[in-house]
Amino acid sequence: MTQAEESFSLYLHIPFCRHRCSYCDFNTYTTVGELKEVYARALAAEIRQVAGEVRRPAHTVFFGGGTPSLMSPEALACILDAVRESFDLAGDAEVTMEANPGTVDEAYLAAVRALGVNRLSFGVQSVVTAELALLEREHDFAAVVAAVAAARQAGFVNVNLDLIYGVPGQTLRSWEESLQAVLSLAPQHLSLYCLTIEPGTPMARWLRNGRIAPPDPDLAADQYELACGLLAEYGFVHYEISNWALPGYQCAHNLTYWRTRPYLGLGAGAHGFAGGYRYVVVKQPRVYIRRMQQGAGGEFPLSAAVAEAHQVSRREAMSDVVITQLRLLEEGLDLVAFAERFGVSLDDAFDGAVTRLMGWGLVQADNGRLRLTEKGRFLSNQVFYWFV
Amino acid sequence: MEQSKIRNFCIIAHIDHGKSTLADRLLQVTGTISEREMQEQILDSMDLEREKGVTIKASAVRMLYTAKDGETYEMNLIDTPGHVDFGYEVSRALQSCEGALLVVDATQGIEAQTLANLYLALDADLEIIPVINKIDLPAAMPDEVAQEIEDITGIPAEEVIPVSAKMGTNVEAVLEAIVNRVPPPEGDPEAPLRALVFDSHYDSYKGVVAYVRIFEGRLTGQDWIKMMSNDVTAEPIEIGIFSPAMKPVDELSVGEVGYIATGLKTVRECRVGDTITLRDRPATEPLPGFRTVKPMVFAGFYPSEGEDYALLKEALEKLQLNDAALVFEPETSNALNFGFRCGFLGLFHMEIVQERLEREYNLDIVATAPSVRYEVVMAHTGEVRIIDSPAELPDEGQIAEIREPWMHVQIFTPEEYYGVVMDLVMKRRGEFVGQEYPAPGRVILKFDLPLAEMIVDFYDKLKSGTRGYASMDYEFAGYRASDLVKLDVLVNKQPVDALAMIVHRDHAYHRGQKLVTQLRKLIPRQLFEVPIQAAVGKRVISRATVKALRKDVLAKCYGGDVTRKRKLLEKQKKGKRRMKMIGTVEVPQEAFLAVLRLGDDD
Repeated sequence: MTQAEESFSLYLHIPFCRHRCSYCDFNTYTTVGELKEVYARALAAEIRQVAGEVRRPAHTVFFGGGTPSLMSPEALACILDAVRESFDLAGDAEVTMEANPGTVDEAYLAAVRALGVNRLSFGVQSVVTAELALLEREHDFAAVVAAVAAARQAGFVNVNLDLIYGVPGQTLRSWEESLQAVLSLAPQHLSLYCLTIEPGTPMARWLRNGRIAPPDPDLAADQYELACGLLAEYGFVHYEISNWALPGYQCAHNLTYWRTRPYLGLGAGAHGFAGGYRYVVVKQPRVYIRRMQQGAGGEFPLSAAVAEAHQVSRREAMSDVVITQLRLLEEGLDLVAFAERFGVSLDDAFDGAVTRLMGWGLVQADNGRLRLTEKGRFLSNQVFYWFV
Repeated sequence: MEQSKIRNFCIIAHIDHGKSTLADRLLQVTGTISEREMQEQILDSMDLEREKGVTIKASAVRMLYTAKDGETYEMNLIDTPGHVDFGYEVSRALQSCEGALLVVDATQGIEAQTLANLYLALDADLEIIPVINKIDLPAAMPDEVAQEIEDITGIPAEEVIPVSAKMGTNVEAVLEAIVNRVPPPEGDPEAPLRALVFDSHYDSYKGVVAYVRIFEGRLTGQDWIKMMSNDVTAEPIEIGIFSPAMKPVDELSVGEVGYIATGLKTVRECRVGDTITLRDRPATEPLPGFRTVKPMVFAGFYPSEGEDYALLKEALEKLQLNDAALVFEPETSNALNFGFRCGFLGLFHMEIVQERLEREYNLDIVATAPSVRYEVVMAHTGEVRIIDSPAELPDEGQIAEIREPWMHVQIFTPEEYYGVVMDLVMKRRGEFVGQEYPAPGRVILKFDLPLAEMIVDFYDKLKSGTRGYASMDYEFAGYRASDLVKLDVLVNKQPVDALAMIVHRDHAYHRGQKLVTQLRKLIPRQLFEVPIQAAVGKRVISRATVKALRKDVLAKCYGGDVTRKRKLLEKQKKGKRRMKMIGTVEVPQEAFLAVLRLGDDD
């Protein structure tokens, strides 16, 4: 494929929330809701600016946040119009929107669906009241049930649910309870994330002052193993370290990340990887809006709002291939393609790291593909260290 | 200068009692340095000393003072190191004086270190002039402290001079007392030269600069000299005095204090305590009291990064130029690779060397737990082996007896901490020798204690247990046989030489257990289970397990932020690089210091 023909994924960031959850360190704001409409116009402008005169193919769009479901259908329409105008969006393109249960009803979801959104991702996190309270989520499980039902009514076939494990106070049993409860809603896709207590979050403070106990890594490992077993029984394919899908429902957008393919990051704080650059857009919505109102873009894919960009070196590119593609448990890393692209085998490029890791049973190679072993899945950092 | 107009004196004081400030004032009042040149605490020329608030190297300054009697006097202030590890240097400095200012903090009273030096000064027949400093402070109790001084020294409280060095109050009275009470030096100006080396430093242009007090005869810049302990001869590059900078003079004569820039290449050829005479007209007898100080405490120093080995070697060599007591030789450890076994006068000396390596040479050092020098009597041959590293200890079956160094220790404390001090010393195999009550509410407790028990954590424990009030002094008592065993530590079944220690058999179980518990906390989980064991001989006395790592994953990749993920991985990788490998186990450098944290109470 030549550069112009390569198909892109578009990540669109919506940096608004009604409330910031206790574990969250994402780029989101709770006090600038009145900016939503003008933000949508700025985002549309950025999409047009980045695309320029070339109408490049695109195959996925992902509204992430923040809480994209706080945006009105009109605002979303404004953004998606810009996407369709500036990109050659495939007819079967996957268009995902993240949503919080409790922020959506059937009418809203139907309107969103009519705009072309065809995949929903709900942040469920837990079904246990005490855990939801600690995470400072604003919904309860009843709201999740209602939201998923509304999604189905509105015609959504492809629904993802997010859950979090490793939550202080969570047990193996309560985790199983959450898993069973979400499975009863028949999702097509599940993302299970281990809680990371990020510095600067309320949770980090609670940990420091002893209000919560430090996470137990062994319990998290047990929870992970439990999920692996249970989801396999339900026919889910464990295709990425933290992601499971029914056959045919893997998230095409996320696969772009893991396959080290190009994606455009648009909107405040979004990250992109395209045209040989990795870059990040300014975080503050007001700054973002001002920049998009005033500035001219740089060379593709850098818009006026890009805060930092660097060209990916050969070494970094090699390392990126490993730390993204090895996350794909089924697909793994194509060793032949690697050697062809870089002119050196992966093992040689990293001083025998592959051989060493195989010896430790963390990775295995067959049919020219390198994959994490079952043991390696939950120890992936121990593998990746050797490649950074 | 006419011999009768010379006054040689030193200042005896506890750390922080204001020795340096008083010295500064004396230099100022006598016009030795101007206000403009006045650097704070000029005698402590090294930054490190300033920060630690102690004097490491002695120095000597000549001042000219015109007294109330209208005569001008040559006053030589000889500075003494302020720490117990440098006791021999202190004794030589005292030997070079006829008088001593005993400086006591008006808020603190006399401390053990001061008292020990005071006794040394009395032994050396010095005229003692007690001075109470810091009388400007609100908490000052000059009368009580003066009474305490009277109780201890027998010098009437009325003769004690109250000053505030900081404010400059009453400093002239101190100078007058030196003129009137300290006797002038004796000695025959026509006899062959006998000059006592009481300190030295290395200068890259002038070689070893010996700090000397002339006891007999005279020396000109043209005379060849001879070291009496080793017959080394040299043609001095220059001779001079400190005022306070080095200033060449034509002659140093009896009673005077100054320096000889010997041109010698190592301080080992010109040791403190040696006597310098003339090559062509030598004295028959050296001055009494020369001995070579021997290192008492040993530890392995290893570079954190293996490639710094050559730099560490170079740095140690440079330090050694100035430090005759520092010894080192290459050592190999299975855990820490290549480093040096270093010998020190004491724990404080070790700390100074380590800090200088880190600060002045920017080296990152892993120091193993300090050890002492043992005498091991072999079973069959009766041969006595000297070892200073637990790794060198032969198998138990081959040993007839192990002897370890014991110290005479005196601890000076307010009476209320009597029990605390007793308890601390007894837990460390101490033997009570006696006690004295030199002043009301104060007690001097005398013990004999194995040095090995003092070098880890003892002084800190003493200080914290007595809320900082106790002070300590010690000297070598001799070797004694003890029931000692080697405590081995095995990580993943492999003995780790850098963690081994020699302990009393009765303590082996307890120490082993504590060490294993500490190590389990310090060694991060690995890809496999890691057993940690403590063993005496073949017998495992304690064990713990570091469970295998099961989870090390970055679960979420927020909006495709691969760069952040990479940064986290790079950071963690950097941490891993600093670890030391024991077989296949990654051990953080802190683990090697675990031995230092084996408190004895909990």
